[in-house]
Amino acid sequence: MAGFARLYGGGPLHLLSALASFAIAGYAALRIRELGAAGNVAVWFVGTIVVHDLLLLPLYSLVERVAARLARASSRPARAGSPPPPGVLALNHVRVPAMVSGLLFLLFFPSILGRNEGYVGASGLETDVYLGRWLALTGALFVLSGVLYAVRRGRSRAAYPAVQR
Amino acid sequence: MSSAANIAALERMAECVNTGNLDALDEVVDADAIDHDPAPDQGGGPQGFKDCFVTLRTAFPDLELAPVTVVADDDHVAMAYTITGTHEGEFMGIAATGERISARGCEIVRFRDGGEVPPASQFRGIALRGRRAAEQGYEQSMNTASRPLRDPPDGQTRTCEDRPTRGRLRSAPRRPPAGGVRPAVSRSPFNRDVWRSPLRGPWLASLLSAALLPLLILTAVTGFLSHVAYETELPGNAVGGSDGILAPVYRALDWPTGWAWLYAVNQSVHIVAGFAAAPILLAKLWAVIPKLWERPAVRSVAHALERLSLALLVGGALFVFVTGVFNIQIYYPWDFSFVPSHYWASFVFLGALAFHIALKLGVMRRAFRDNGVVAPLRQDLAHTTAEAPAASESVPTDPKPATISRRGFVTVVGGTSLGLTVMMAGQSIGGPLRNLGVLAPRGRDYGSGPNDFQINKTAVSAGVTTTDTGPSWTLELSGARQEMLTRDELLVMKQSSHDLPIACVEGWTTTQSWTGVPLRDLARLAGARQDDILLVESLQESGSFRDAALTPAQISDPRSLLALKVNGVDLSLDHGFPARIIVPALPGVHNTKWVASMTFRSA
Repeated sequence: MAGFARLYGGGPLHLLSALASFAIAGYAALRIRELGAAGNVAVWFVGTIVVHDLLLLPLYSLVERVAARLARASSRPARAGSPPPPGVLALNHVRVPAMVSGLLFLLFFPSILGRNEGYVGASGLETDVYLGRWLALTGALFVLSGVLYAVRRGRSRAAYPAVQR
Repeated sequence: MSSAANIAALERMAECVNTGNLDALDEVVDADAIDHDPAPDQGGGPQGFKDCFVTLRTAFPDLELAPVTVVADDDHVAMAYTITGTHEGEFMGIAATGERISARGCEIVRFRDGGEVPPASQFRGIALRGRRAAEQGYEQSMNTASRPLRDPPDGQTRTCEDRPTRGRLRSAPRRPPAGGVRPAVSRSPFNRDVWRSPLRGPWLASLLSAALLPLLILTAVTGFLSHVAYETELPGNAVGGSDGILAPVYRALDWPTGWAWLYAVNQSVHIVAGFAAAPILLAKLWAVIPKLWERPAVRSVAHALERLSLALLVGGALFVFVTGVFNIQIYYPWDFSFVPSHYWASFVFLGALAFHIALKLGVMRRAFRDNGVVAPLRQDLAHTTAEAPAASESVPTDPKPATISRRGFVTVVGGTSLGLTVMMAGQSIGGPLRNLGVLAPRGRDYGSGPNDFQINKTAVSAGVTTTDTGPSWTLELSGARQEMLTRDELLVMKQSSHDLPIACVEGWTTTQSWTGVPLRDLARLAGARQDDILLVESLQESGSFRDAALTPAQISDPRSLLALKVNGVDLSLDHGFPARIIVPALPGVHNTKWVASMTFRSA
């Protein structure tokens, strides 16, 4: 048993569980293959991983990094008891609404960009409202964030009047 | 001595420890050197250090000491390090467990030519993972001041004031670092060091997973129940191909009609839970992305299988989510059929998820035990620091200053999840709440008239024209007898009115008041038997869901109608004029519109 663990790198239960989960996946793949367009399913399966892990996430991290540098939020960490540097507050109040808006775009871009041709036939309605709605929602998010930013800045100014900005 | 020489001396010591060449310690450690946090039975001078490291290397043969941060001046070197190894020999009374251990430590070494001031060092205890470690009372936690895990043995207690002796570490000639001494941080891309957010770590991943799991369970269960509702064992209902080995399961389960809103609620939960999970899923993937680049890429066969399973997990999750989100917007940029692909891919995902949970439950428990479940949420930005790098490969090796606290991060993710929940629930609940579905495909108003409610499939797109549905339309009713009924003849029959929902698989619902002939009256007219099913066909010539099959229970429910009117007026063409089926708790597409024929036959 110790020999098995040394060769395999884990216990027999580990191997059994792995094989069981692969068996389920394999059966599902067989079922999908029956329907003919399996090649395209595989492309989409792998494609989503590639697009997310190798494109979207690194891109997002890059934008983050640039934004942090622009906001001068990458300086030394705040000391305990002092307010965060104003760059950090501004960064957060810009990037949070931006991120939420971006996520909404990612989820609903077929409607926002009017690319879902089947929608008219299904619902009897046009998709033209969605771009305006998304822009309005984005605007509302930024306005709300701006208001909160002003409130927090006001509060921290009141709490630490002597701190140089 | 110069700081460079001091660092070199300490590097030489680390090299000795990592290569096992402990005799070389004689060159580095002065005869009078004192370790002020000695192991039990450790003596003084180089021999004491050697004994200590022999003990460690016996217990952990692949012991590796890696400096993380080194700060030096002409008299001191301070080194924060990570020490790792596999527990293959007895250590401090604990027999070999085979587990990998990791610990952090901090050494401050003072170099002096003579002088009274002694060195000081402090060793943060080794945390042995697993039950035995817990029994022995070892612990390691994030962001707490270190404290010695054992009091020094009696007779060896010393304070700085007590110490009359001096120590000196003799410097060694500067040599290039040996293989065991790694540079602290690599700057090459595709490496875990690139990811520097201090928020990442097993605690955050565990918290996100704990939030994600119930939502995933909800989507999985409701997804499965939706398939049950489609009664795929009946002819014409199986849009997604055969059920394979699960066919007996679906044959055995019948969808009830008792509660008219059962399917509406089921599908609403499916879509709402899915959207609520989406931001948390993305946050979770963000939290663990450094592990994609962990080194070595494959440690063992078991590790390779785990990584393969992760590919199925992430790919499966993304595939199911992407296809689902696109489907509800009626967007199909792919070649495959949505229903079976979404359905079977969810099995790929769920199988991999079960394996993943089994593997990571221990990690989760440890993360919550070491850090508390909600304690890190109480930290403000100034106190937000990274977890121990050895805790997981997702923890940054070179963390940058935090720009948002963990509680800020969780608030944003949770808030987004809540917002999406509200938006999608709006289109499910309907009424005035439908307006909350700002970006939802069915969050829109059709008007205030009796036929102004959500359409699914316009007459135009179904190819149904007014000529087909004009005065020449007759309903072909077959069972033991054949009947052809005109619309006027149907209107003369006893009518029933009921408030029933149209509940779409895409998660939206609209409830209206329907008037028409009860299906069971038509069944009696056609001479149907008690256990006959009903096959309904539409005027729609081709395309999916042009026909549907209903169970005996659905036929005999008094609320099941062949509806001729809605909200008191004739059905509009888009809503199925001249007649449509409406049955409690039936999936929306099975409420066939533009009914052409109804056939009662045995199953």
